[in-house]
Amino acid sequence: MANSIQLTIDAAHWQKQVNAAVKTLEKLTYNLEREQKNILEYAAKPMVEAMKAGAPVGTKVHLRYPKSRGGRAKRGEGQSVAKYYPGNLKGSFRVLDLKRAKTSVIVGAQLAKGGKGTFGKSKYDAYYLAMVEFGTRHTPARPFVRPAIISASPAVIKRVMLACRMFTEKFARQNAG
Amino acid sequence: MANISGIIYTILAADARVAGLVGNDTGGGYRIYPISIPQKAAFPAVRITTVAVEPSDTKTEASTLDAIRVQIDSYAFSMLTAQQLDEAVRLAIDRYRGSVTVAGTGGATYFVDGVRFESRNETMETEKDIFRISTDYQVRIHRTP
Repeated sequence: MANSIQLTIDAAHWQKQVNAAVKTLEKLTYNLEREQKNILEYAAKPMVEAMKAGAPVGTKVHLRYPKSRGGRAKRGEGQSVAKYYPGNLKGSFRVLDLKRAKTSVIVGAQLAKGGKGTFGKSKYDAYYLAMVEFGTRHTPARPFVRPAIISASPAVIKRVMLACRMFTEKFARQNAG
Repeated sequence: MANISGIIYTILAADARVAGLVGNDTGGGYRIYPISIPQKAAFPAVRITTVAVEPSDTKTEASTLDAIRVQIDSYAFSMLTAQQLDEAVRLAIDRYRGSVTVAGTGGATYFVDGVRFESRNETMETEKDIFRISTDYQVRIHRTP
């Protein structure tokens, strides 16, 4: 009767399985890197909505004049370069499409190139956001961006977690077996 | 709600460095203002603005301890003075903890649970070359005197 038992490890098979697992994880990382901007764009939506909800809306149409060179024109004689309708600031918030942000998204107010034209209808130019948010020497601050960041952060984190979970579940289904 | 600007004013006015830098207003107080700086005020000056209030509600009652985000602007005609004032403000209130009796409120005393520096932002007001440093603090405060 045998009084011993021989145990062996099939190292080659084990190595093969580890290699396959590493390869799958590398694929997961690669796919996640490609998908992360979409995930963040989806997650940032509550923050954009919170900023839009808090943005003050004016009641008057405002005109902007070019920076004066050699003195300001007399009242009523200046040539306006831009017209701002109420709601311009509110409508300007979005997830900005910035090329330099490769692995992140930036939520903020849109600025118009050149800053000439009519804004607040279909085009937006919120160059004065900092003046509203932080105030100036003469005008009190009307902070709404920082409160929006505080209030919307839990919803953003929830969305990031949800989107990541959906992504990994989909990946697991596609790579099962 | 706790008189947050009154509390900050009291702490800053009691600090010799801040009081020495801002100096007196024509009304007799220090040049530390809530919300906006008067049109003809001299500089250096400090402005206090409440940014956001985060309550800490419990299951059974309303929040007794609020975390208030406050923006404190230090204005001056030179960047150096603005920086000195901002640093003096920070030295006076960062990590502050204790009771504060606000002047002009009939002796209302609040307990400040803690003050924490959050962020700093330097800008310049182009109109008259006035420098400004905006610093955010989180002030944890008991709501009732």
